[in-house]
Amino acid sequence: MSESVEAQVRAESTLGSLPLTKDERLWGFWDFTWVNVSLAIATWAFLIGGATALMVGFAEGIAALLIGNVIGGAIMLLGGPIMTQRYGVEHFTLLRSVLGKVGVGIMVFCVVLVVGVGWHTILGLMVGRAYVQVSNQAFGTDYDLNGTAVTAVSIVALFVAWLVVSRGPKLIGRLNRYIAPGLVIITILMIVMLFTQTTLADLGAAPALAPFDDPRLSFAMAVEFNVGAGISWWQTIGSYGRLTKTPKTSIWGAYIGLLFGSMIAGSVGLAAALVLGEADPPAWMVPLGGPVVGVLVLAFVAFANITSIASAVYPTVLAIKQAAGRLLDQVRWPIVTGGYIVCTMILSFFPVLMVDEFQLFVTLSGGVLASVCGVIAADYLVLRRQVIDVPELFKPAGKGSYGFHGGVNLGALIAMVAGISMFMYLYNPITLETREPFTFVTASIPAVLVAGVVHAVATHLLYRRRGDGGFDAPDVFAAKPAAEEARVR
Amino acid sequence: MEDQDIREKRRFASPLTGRGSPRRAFLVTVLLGIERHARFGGPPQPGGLRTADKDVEPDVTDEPLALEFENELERRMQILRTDEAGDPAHRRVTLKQFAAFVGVTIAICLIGAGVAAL
Repeated sequence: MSESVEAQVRAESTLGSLPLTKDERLWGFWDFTWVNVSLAIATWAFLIGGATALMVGFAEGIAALLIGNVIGGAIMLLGGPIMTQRYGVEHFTLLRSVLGKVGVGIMVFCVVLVVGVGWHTILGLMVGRAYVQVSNQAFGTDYDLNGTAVTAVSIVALFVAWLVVSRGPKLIGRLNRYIAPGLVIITILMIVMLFTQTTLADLGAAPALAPFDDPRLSFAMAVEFNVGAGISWWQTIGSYGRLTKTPKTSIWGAYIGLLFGSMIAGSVGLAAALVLGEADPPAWMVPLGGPVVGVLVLAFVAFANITSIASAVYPTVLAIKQAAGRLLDQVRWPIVTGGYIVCTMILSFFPVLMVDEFQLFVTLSGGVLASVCGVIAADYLVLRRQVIDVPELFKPAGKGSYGFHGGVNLGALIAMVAGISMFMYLYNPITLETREPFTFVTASIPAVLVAGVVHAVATHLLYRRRGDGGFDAPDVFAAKPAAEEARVR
Repeated sequence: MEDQDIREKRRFASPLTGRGSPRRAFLVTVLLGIERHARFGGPPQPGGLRTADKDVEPDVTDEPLALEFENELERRMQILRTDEAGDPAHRRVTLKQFAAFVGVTIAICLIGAGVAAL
């Protein structure tokens, strides 16, 4: 492995966390909107649309995609890019002001790692299922879509993704230059193919694939699932927010771009699943596109998944490496990424569990991330009034303004548990038990509010009223008063 | 240039009297140099003097990179405090903007509810 990759990654995980200056910000409004559209029209969007079709029909599905992504996107934006845009500091480094340095480590290992491994395993299995489907169609084989052949191909795909990610960020960037436009073309192609095979009236009449008896509950669950999908952008958009030039760009660029992209690709997945009676994209792509086009599209989407895995694994493992601090500093990048990929490979041995429980996984992780975002929004917007002391972020764990208790903001941890408890009280995605308010206000919105209120109260009592926690920091960007300017001159 | 001089004097100002002096500046530089030498085994880098309130600790055991990190943080903070202070790029989100954001979210949700009701 070349030294330059180690140097690239090491520089990015240390120097890359520093605040960006105005000249280094890359994206204006349209640039950032386009970046988000490209991100959202990714392979998993088809999967989300298909899974939505399990619960609701076309009109309700479009509504669920719209409402879910808007709510999820709004929660995610309040908990990430608003902060990173203003300061230009790396996302998880900035979160030290909310959770403490050790607290960020706990969150990265308990939430980001688990959510990341889950998502990337599902993407790997999607590749496995896609190529097994290609083989069944093109070579007349009869492999089971949940069998060992799927696991074997997934492991190969994850290995290839590791080869890409272990070669550093430049190769990922080069591959994505071709993949993102390719996925946009494929989405348009699928829309054309869909409407040559069916009409809007047929789509509207197509029933949901596996709805609940109560249609209102089915709709609420479809919305909640899409809220989870919207919030799952938190880590990526939080990181990208620092590259935007203005607050308006970071908020509206992500909001519009992700909503538009998710709606387009999700609607294709939803419509195709309803028309062809299959929620799983590899299962409907060949019947939709025919034996030649369908197989080619499927093969491309599967390949695109590999780069999606690599693109998503890179920031996740970088966050893990940063959170681990000196513990992983001397461990070489290919070994850290390799360890992570091995975890996804192990989970690939359970394709039925992972694919069947996709909905549970997205909803549950959405509930956890909603609580995290509630805590962050309350801390940054309410308690700190958007003011953070940047040099204090880089002090050793447990020291400085953001030292809290041994590097952990106990108030934030209590608040996260409270938020997750509220989510589970209103909607338990494991047992599918719900309470009445769930069908009106979702479970994520109350989780955000409870987490935010508990954090504000607990952090005030534990730190703020004692003058701890750096809540009275001066604003580094505050324009100097005219008198001081004159005195300096 | 004059601003730079004033900043340098402030950097070495006594915490008790608030005044700076060439002797104090020299003493602080020497002490910081010794401290840095003890920690990293090298001389202080230009523009990267360690001060008591900037005791940063990058999570690397690679000493040149740790040193580069500190210098870079100091340089960037200087830019943010001076060149970019008051810049619209770093404005806080106002209550009005927040209300607009929430309003748009609610409006889209209502449109979605309307679509579902069709």
